Amino acid sequence: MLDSLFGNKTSERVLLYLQNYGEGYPTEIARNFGIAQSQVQKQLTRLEQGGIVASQLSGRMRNYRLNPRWPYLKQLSSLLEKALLSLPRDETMSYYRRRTRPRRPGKKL
Amino acid sequence: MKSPAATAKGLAALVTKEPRRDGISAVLTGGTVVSIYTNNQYESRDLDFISSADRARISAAMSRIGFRPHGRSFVHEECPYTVEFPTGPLALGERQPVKAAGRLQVGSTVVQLLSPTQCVMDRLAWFFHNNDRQCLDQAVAVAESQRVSMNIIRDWAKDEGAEEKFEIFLNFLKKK
Repeated sequence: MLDSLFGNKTSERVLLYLQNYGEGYPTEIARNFGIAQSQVQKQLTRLEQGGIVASQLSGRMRNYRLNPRWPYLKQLSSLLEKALLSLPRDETMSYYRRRTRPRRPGKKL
Repeated sequence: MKSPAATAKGLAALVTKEPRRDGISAVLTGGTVVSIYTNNQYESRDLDFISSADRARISAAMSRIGFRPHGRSFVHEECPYTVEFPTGPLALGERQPVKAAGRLQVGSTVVQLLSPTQCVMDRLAWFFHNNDRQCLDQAVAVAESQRVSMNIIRDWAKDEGAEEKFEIFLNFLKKK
């Protein structure tokens, strides 16, 4: 949908992921979509160089989110949110509805 | 021991009724309230009751209806549901304590639970603070199925500092 605007499908997915979940590690983003981590990392590096995403080291991993200081963040978020709203239901359920609220320890799954 | 209840509503009534004999009050919260208000559109197998009673008293009451402790939960061999008593107080995001405003009549038992408006706020709190969109969908489903006060929810969302996410909720609701 927005892949032409963002350059490619992976870039679109990475941005939608960060809008949807708020943050993400390259490994989990790649696993979420079933794509290579190197592809995801390449796009994240490109987007970070452009100031669109920002990262922070967490242990040995780098955690990414949309850059809160990017001047067009509000407009970008709004666009991504519209795209999330327009996704087919099966795509939404497959990629954008992972549980992120905590589960109490010892809870039966 | 035979299954104590085949439905979440039935079990909620039983778990309300039995501890009440010992003066223990409990409020049903969480995903089961969503199930009840959406006619099982979202099914939950965990019943979460907030109670200020200590665990030993709750455990004694639960054992009378055949539930045994299993970690932090209570389980019954013949029952598909687990029951938990998370530590209170009842809260909706940053707002606490909260008085549950919902009542559900099951046979002769009145179950105390979150009202539909509170249930939407409870689910939205997970979306606002943990980016959990499963809960966003649940909030939308409850708001669609029940009469809720959007003004109360909007004011609360503002207090939670989540006005933008409240707008996302409204957009998903409009889409339905």
